Amino acid sequence: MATRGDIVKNLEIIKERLQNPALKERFSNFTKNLQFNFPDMNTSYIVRIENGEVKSISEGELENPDIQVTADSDVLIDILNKKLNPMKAYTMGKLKAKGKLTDLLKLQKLM
Amino acid sequence: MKALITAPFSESAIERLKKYMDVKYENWRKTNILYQDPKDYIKKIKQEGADVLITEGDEIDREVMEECDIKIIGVCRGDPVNVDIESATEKGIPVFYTPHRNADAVADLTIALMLSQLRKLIQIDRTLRSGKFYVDTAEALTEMFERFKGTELGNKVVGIVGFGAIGYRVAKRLRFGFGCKILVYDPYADERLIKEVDGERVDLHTLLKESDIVTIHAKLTEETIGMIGKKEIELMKPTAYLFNTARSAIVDEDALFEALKNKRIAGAGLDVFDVEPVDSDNRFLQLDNVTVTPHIGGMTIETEERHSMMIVEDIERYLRGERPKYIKNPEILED
Repeated sequence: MATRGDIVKNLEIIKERLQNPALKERFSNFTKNLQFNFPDMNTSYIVRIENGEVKSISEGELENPDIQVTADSDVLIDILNKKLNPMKAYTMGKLKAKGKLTDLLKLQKLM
Repeated sequence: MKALITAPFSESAIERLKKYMDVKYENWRKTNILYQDPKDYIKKIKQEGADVLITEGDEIDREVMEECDIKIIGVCRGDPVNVDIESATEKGIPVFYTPHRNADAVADLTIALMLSQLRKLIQIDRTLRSGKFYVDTAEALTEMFERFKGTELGNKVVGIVGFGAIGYRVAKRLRFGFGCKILVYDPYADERLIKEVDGERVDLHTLLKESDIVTIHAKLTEETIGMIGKKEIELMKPTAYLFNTARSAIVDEDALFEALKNKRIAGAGLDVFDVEPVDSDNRFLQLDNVTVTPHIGGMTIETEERHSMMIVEDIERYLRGERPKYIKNPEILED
C-alpha cells in the first residue's frame, strides 16, 4: 500500500503527460474532474484539469466527478509508471473506470 | 415485457423479438453512449420501463439489478464480463451470451493479415501513396520488382498457439485453402479437431523454432499472460512472422516491438495492443514490416447478425420453457 505522499507524487505524472506536445493540442478544451478511488487506503483524490492543464491535486471526494477510477494504490502507481498495462489491469478486474465514453477515451491517454 | 437494446442488433432479430415484447433500440455505436455509471443506466432503464436488457458493453452491476426489475439479460459478446453474474444468479436473472459469435470474422482477419505481410501490401501501398515513387528508368523498374517481391502462404509451416474456436477456424482455412502444415500448441486442445486439420501437437519451444508463421489465438489467462516474451521471440526463425488477433498481454509488446524494429523476425500482423483503441499514436505504425488494425477482428456484418440471432433464439427458448443454449448461469434453471 502506498503512502499519501506517493499518491500525490505519482498523480503528478498526469501533469507531465499533458505537457507532451502531441497531447497538448488534443486536450486544449479538456476541463474535467478526475476522481481516483483507492479502496486499500480508504481514500480518494481529485485531479482537476482545466483546458488541458492540471490545476490541482487534492484528497477528497466529489458528488459528480466526470471520471472515476478505482484501483488499489500500488496498481495505479504501476499503471502510471508504465509497469502495468491498463488494459491488462482492467481485464483482470484490478481497475475500474466510470464516466462518459469520450472522457474515458481521453483518460486512457493520460494513464 | 420491454427490451432496451443498446448493442448493435440486426433488423431481422429486432422484428423477431417484437413478437414477444416491446423494443427500444438505441445502438451505442450510434448514440455514443455506453452506460458505465449505474446511476445513468438505472435512470434510462426506469425511463423506458425496460425489464429485458440487451447490451454489449454497459456495466450491469448489483446496483442496477437491485434498483430495476430485470427479467432477462442478453450480452452480445463472447464472455459477459460486464455483468455481475453472481448478483444475476442470486436474483434468478438468466444471462444469455454469444460465444464464438465472431470466430469466423477473426479467422478471416488473421488470414488477411498474413497475406498482407507476406505480400508486403502495407509497404507497397505506403510507397505508392508517398507521392515520391516513380518508375521512369529501367533501374527503377527492376528495383521495384525486387523490392516488392513477396512470399507465398501456400505450404508454409504455421504454428497455432491456442486451438479453440478461432485457432481451429484459422487452421482449417490454412490447411484446406493454402495447403499449410499445421503445428498446434494448446494443452487443452481437442485431439479430434487437431486431426481434422492434419495438425501436429507440439510444445511451445518446437512450435516457435519450426514455424514460418506463428499465430496467437489463446485466451487471456494467468497461464497465458506474457507467454511470448523476448526469450520465446528469440526462438523464432529470422524469416518468420508473428500474428496476434487474440489479446496483447499474451505477447510482451516491448519485446515484439524491438524484434520487429531490429528485423529479428520478418514481420507481424497485429489487431490487439497494450493501449487501445489504436490511433495514430501507435508505435507499430512507424514500422513497415507490421500490419496494424485497431482491434476490429470480430467486427463484421455477419457477427452482428449472428450475435443478434443467438440472443433472440435463447430468449425464445427461455420464454417457451426450453433450455437456452448459451446461458452463463444455468443454475438458475434448476430452481
